[in-house]
Amino acid sequence: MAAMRCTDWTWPEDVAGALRVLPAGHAFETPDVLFRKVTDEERAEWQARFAGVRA
Amino acid sequence: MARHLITSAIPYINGVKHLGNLVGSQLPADLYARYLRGRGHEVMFICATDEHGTPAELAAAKAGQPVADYCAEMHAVQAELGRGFRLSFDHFGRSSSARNHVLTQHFAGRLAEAGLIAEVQEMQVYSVDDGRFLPDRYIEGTCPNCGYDKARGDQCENCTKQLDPADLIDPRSAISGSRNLERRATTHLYLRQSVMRERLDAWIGAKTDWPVLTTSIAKKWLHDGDGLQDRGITRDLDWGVPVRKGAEPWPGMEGKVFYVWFDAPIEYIAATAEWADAHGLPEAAWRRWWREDEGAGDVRYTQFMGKDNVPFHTLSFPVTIMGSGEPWKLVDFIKSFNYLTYDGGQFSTSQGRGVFMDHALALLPADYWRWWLLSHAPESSDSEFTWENFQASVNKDLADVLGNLVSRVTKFCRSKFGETVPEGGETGPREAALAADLGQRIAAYDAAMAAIEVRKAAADAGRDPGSATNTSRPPPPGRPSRPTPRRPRRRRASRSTSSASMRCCRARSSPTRPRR
Repeated sequence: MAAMRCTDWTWPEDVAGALRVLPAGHAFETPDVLFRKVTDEERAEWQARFAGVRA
Repeated sequence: MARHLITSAIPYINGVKHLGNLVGSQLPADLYARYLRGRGHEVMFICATDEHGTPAELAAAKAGQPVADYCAEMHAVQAELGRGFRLSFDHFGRSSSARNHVLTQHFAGRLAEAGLIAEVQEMQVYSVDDGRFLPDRYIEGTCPNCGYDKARGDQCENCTKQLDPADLIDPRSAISGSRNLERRATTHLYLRQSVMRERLDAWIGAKTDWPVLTTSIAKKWLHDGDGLQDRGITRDLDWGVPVRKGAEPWPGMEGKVFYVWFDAPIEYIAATAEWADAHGLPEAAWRRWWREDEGAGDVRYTQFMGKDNVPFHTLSFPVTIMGSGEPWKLVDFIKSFNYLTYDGGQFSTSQGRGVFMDHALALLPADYWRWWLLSHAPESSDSEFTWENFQASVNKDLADVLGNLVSRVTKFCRSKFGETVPEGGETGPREAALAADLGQRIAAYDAAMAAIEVRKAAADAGRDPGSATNTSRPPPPGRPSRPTPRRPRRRRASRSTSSASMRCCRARSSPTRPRR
């Protein structure tokens, strides 16, 4: 994610090397919530909304 | 580095597709394309809209639009939804393109020259009031078997009996309701698949590494009953590719078009040509993907599709390619899928039952859906979408496991070091063990992706990082730095997070174990 400000997304052929992809001094951000949870209310509402005739 | 041509079965034009359609071809094809690009291969990933046929004409009439306008509009809608789901097509073409007209007519001409086309006169139902021949399923009447009064001319959906339109009692047009029907003689072209049966059988028989779902359907069509039948490839319609023999007129076939199932797979080739056109590239640019005599000799071609499309891709389209006598690229691997069902029943486009692509994106970002669909892909059997399962999977796999890990690692780093990666010490056995573990996991993921085992790859990618989320243990070793192509944004997160967490880990160990 952008928070890590990293640009090297090549395949980690060399795992140990890939683990050093962020050098010391590299800045990052603490991201907000990556994935929110689906609430029980949402689930019930969606279940009803998509059960039959399309809006 | 290898060259990979990937095509997804092309979605029909008449409306927004549901999640079952998406997971049956476009989404796993995108997963594979992203994976191969990530591995550094050269990829051409093609899809399109399938725009011809009676349903398109009727949908346009219902919308009060000329069919060409309707198709252009719906193509734009589907293309936008594809972008919304981050489907990384190199080109999303249209089967109504000029390129497809020319190629379809070219193949028909070549097949005719090879003696693989028969002209057959047959009797078909003509609706005088509609001014058109009616396909079997657009004739309605009473079922002679069960008495259901809305049976279709091909099958009664009440008792499932296969019907011929002549069997129906009180037949009428499903379009207008008119009973003014008559049988008229009409001539159609048939693709003589039956004469290619042995060649097809040998070809399919050699594909021992293909999914059983693919080969079993092909073999059933090759061997059941009287074996592979010839197939009509023309229709009495206005909307479609006009019947021509290459660039020449086809005497007796004026006013007719090719059947949608003849021109649709040819669109894979045509869409690649459309891609070249869209980028101002020469003919050679697309032909190097499709012509073995012009550079496609080293291309590996993989097709993705739902099981209902398998007969056309294992039999009819290969007959078109082989029968042309030209060195067009034949498919190397066909990945097929079973069906995704919806909450105890079927998705239904006509009844609006289930979640459609536009609705899904209005509820949650694409990654939530991509993760659930790919981790529950209907590979070895049908799978079912339920809201309970979706909620549980999102909340656990994405929010609790992955989201929480990233949050803990970055917050930990911030609280200890500010928002920069600190100097680390030397790596020690703990880091070496982590690297070894990650290496094994990447190898397992690689093997699953090479075999296009979607659920297995998802399971490998999403495995609980375990101790990483357990702060009672000293260093958070981080989530495996395994790219997960289905979640392109998070892939970066997981990579860089693990890297950062590794730095953090080292940094955190250094106070207690300096210089290790």
